[in-house]
Amino acid sequence: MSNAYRAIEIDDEELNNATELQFQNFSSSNTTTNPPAGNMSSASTPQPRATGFGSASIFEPPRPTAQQEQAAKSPIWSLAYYSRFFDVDTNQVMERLFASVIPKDNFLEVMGGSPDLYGPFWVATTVIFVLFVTSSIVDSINAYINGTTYQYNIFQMTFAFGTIYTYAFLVPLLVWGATKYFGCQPDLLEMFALYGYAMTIWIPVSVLSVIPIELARWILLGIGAGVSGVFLIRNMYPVLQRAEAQIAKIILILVIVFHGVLALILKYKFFAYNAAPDAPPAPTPPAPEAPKF
Amino acid sequence: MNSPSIEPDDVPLPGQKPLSPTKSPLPKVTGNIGSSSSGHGSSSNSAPTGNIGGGVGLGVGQASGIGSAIDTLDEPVSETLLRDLRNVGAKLQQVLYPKGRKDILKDWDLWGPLLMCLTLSIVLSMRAQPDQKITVFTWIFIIVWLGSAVVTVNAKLLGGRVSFFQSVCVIGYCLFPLVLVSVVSIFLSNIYIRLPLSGIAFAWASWASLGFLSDSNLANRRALGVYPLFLFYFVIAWMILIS
Repeated sequence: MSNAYRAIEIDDEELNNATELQFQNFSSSNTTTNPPAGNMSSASTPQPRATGFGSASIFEPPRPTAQQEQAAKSPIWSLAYYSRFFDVDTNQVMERLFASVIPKDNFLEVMGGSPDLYGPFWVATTVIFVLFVTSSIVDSINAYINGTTYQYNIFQMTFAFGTIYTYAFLVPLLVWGATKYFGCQPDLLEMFALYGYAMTIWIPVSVLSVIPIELARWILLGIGAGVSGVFLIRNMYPVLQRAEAQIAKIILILVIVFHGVLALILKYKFFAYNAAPDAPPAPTPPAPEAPKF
Repeated sequence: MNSPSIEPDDVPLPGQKPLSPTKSPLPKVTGNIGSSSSGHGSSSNSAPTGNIGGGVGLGVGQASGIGSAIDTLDEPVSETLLRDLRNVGAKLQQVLYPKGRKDILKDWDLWGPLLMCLTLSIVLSMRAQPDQKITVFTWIFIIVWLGSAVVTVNAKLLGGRVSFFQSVCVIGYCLFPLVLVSVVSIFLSNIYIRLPLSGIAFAWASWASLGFLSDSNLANRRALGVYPLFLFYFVIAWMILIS
């Protein structure tokens, strides 16, 4: 792969510097088994050079941990092969979760060149269940206000399942495919990690959206869409820049559109406020519609 | 018919076919000590066949030496069923009140989880809206089985040393407090009673399963492995709460 060749060419004079930095980082790092190259990229201020995706390839390839070595030896159909994507500790996951909710650092540096699939999968699953729980609370509050009895709607679980898993796994796949087609050299795992961790903000937003004030729900929705949108775009920008300007713009717009659609679906499907006494508390077909006042 | 000991035991119960002589040479076990063909060969056993959790061989659990000593081929079906039921009961007791041998749950079997899952699905489906009953049943079934599998696979992927079926078995058995509360909730609709009951059941189930799954080597990742378990029981507790 061309990235590997590039690494070998550049690294000749950098090797000494790299080793020094590597050594320094061991004393300052926490007790994780993070590959040293990952720490290197965060401590050695590669800001001018960090192009987001593939930054790890400019330095040495990360030294594999024990779990990753074991995974590399296993055949592709065994479970151990996939444990390389779950090689994270609790504090690393917490770090990544915080970085996704407060998107000020470059997330790929926070991940240190080793994206995981634990975060995306469990954040998405949590979002699904939290959506179901909070929307059932919302519906029961609606019923209480309207004076009807409340019966939960299981189809909201089905809908949440479909929407969130599609957004967390299918959309990154599409974006990856598109950017790969146009020569941006994206990394699929990082794409999954970005989209997955971007969903973190929806958990507190959902919990708070039980407040039965319509304005509050819109504000919360805006915050949620804004934070996750900024997080996504900021971290995808370096990749998109590698394509031509026109294409990059189109893909960027598509990403934003998908994100907006998700936000609207969440609002109208899960946090709809029905004040009319004869309106059914259960939500109606998936097309977004104006809230009944 | 040439061995005199067979005849008194071989009388089939009314309505049953006599024990079929064409048993498979390797009886399908469910991992219980000393058990062999649980209900296999009898048409009155309406539960799914003993293939669930079985077919793994006599080595599962500590059944290896004992199966040869007791000739379970000749016993009445009721004895076979009762032995498995007693086993399930013993494990349930271990979950409810964890005293005594901790490794009684290491002899995994999937009857218990199946019983829990079916009870939960049926009870919650009964309480759902008429046009949603099937979906609710399906969802609970999926959540229980897929959920246990996913939690287990997650622990394994993180590097923990758990046996897949043992873990699924433990998670299934620890559903028992939640199943109890769901049955109780059929009769009590008041949210102020259901809320603390569900909460207690959730805490109990989580604590029980934690106890059994605590000795897998997860080191710095224990929270990562345990969180999905909490999520699992929480979702089920919630479904019971709002049913």
